[in-house]
Amino acid sequence: MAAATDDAGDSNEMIRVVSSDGEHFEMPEAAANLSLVLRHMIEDDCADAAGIPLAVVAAKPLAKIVDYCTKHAAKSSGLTIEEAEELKRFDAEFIEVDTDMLYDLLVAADFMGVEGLSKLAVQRTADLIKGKTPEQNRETFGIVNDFTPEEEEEICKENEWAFQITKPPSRLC
Amino acid sequence: MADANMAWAELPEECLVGILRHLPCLLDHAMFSGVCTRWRTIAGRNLPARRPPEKPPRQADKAPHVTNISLIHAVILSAAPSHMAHTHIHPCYAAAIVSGNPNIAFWRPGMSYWTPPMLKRDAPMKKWKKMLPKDPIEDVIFCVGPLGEGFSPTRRTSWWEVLARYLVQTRLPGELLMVVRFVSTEKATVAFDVFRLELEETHI
Repeated sequence: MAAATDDAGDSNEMIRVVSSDGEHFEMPEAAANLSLVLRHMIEDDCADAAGIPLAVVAAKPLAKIVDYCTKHAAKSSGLTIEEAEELKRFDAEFIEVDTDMLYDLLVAADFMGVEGLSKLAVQRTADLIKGKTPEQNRETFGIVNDFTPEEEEEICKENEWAFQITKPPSRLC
Repeated sequence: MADANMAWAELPEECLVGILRHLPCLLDHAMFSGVCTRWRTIAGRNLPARRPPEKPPRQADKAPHVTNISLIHAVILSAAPSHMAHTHIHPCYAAAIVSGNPNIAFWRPGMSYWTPPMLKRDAPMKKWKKMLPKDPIEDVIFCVGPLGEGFSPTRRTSWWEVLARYLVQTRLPGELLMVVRFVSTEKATVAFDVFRLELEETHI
């Protein structure tokens, strides 16, 4: 269960959500409003005691997202410099996750329309990709090389300038 | 995670587009598109934004422009750049070793383009090409001598070609190295030159 903060926005109403694997979570309405999907459902009076079902978000990432939204909703308006710094630190720590969780967060934030979290997860992924060769990126994300030898050769030719800079000489195409 | 392979390759397109937006560097973009077919397709549809070329007013400036620079290997400055660099008091010029032929171009503060070597403003390029060495210029130094001052190509000390120059930060704070990588005609790396940046104390 996510911890609800007392000073979360002007509405004290708690919104219930249900993960794809049937776990229930609660968060203040202000926090739920950070998700476009949840906001629309609240506006359409779809938020009842049974909770809003989120068919594609499992409990693990949902717990993180409820955490994120609760934190950000509590600190949304009139931030002091210290508070903004603290929120930044929270974000940095929050997104220090393995690639499986990062993937779940990317997809869930995209599905739920949580803009801030989407940006955070996208930035983190881009940071993991930067300065790496395709092979290293495949390794990081567990992606299988599905190019045909012909395609591979074409890519090599196209990127000759780039490979000159990044590849060891034995692998020069 | 057993199906992780598919997962990252099949990430929703808007996520991948978002990630690409955070990869403004052409090199990262190229590396991204080499990962798998789906990433490649999406990268191809979302090329990094390039600033439209600035067009200076032509009538005011008839100097030829170098328009086809795709890679700058090195930039050599005549002096440390300062806020006075655009004046005649402390002028500063830059020579760049670029791809193409001739593989050198010049710039001074205030110019919005690089200019090729010229004899006189209106001298034809053909004439200049004759005077340039046949081999690409690998490096130039700025020197002040009895015949005046200017950039002068350094003498080729070997038959090796410079493949790349790297700027390397070491663990020592503030230490910066430039590593020059040489390749033989068979494209095998045969040597490195390492230079260390020495900062002069500035007295104000």
